[in-house]
Amino acid sequence: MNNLLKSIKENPILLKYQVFLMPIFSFMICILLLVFLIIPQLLGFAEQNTQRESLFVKKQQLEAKIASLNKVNLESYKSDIATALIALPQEKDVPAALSQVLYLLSSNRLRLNEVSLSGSDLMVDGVKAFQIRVDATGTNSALRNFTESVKSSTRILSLEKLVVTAGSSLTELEATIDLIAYFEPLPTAVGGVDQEIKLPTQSDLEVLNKIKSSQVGSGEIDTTTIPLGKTDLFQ
Amino acid sequence: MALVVMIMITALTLGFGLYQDLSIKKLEEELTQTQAQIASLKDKEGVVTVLGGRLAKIISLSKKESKSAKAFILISDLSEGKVKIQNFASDKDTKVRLSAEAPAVANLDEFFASLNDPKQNQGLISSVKLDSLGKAKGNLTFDLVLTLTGGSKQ
Repeated sequence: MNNLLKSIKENPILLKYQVFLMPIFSFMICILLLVFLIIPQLLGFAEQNTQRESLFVKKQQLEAKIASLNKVNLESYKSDIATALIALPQEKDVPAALSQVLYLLSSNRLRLNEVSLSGSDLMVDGVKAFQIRVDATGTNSALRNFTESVKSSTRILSLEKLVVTAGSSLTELEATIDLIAYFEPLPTAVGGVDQEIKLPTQSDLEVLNKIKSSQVGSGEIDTTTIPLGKTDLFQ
Repeated sequence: MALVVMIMITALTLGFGLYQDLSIKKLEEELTQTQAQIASLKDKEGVVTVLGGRLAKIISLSKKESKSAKAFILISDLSEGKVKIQNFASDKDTKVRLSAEAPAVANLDEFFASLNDPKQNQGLISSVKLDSLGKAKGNLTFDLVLTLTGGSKQ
């Protein structure tokens, strides 16, 4: 080994061109370092930086989510869900829907002649619903007020179709009103960990308060003004 | 000299690369911990998601306006003191068939004008067509077909 090194060191060609060989050797090493180490590293920096930034942003989002969730008062939210379920229940809850309709009729001085329900569930704007057909009698203004009050009913109802004919009495009208009552089952799964959450806004809380306040009156039905068409609505 | 500089640059780039790798690993570990923390708050996330979703649907459904209801309210208001409604039938939110009677031509004219006036009809009615006109028991009887905005004109 020593002999080999000695022969290389004493090689006359090497000795003659060592002034040129050393810089060439250094240059080649520099090129190799540049091509195989520095450039790939520099190219990787951009990718690493992007990855680091995205992880950082994701972490910040998750920390913000934790901060939001820590503000949540579980009991208060459960109570709010219960309130929201009055307006949009998880099941058809036909008695509650009919009670709401009867309340609206009674509070607007309309007499109920008949009420019937659609056999199958509907899907309206992506929300499950069923139809309630109401035949009622009353004055034009009573009917007008009823039509208006449907919009603000505690249980969400929408008026789908309205047919009005002059009644036997000179001042009264007979109306067939198709109402849609909505319901929506509760979701079976919540979103993933990374999914953003949105706490209720001021306007959302106002909606809840509106439901709470309108709920107070909806239970008081003046049955004396409603001659019911059927004693058992489900017959 | 150039070789020394190049070796130093290489060392620097490798060192910075290593630092980047370590900080990414640290962030990934922190992220895992944060995700675990969120998983422990799943019950709270559940109520927020349920409430948010339900409120969004309630607000969306509350904003949904029934054209039949709006048309009836409008016609009731416009007809007051002018004509007496005999029949009102809304058809899938686009057409309204209306039968009414008026004591005099002036009342009918006024009612007809109000239905056609965009200010008075609140932009809800796009066309009014008189289907029939007659006289019964001293009153003018008439049938109208109203096309509501967004519906196809007849």
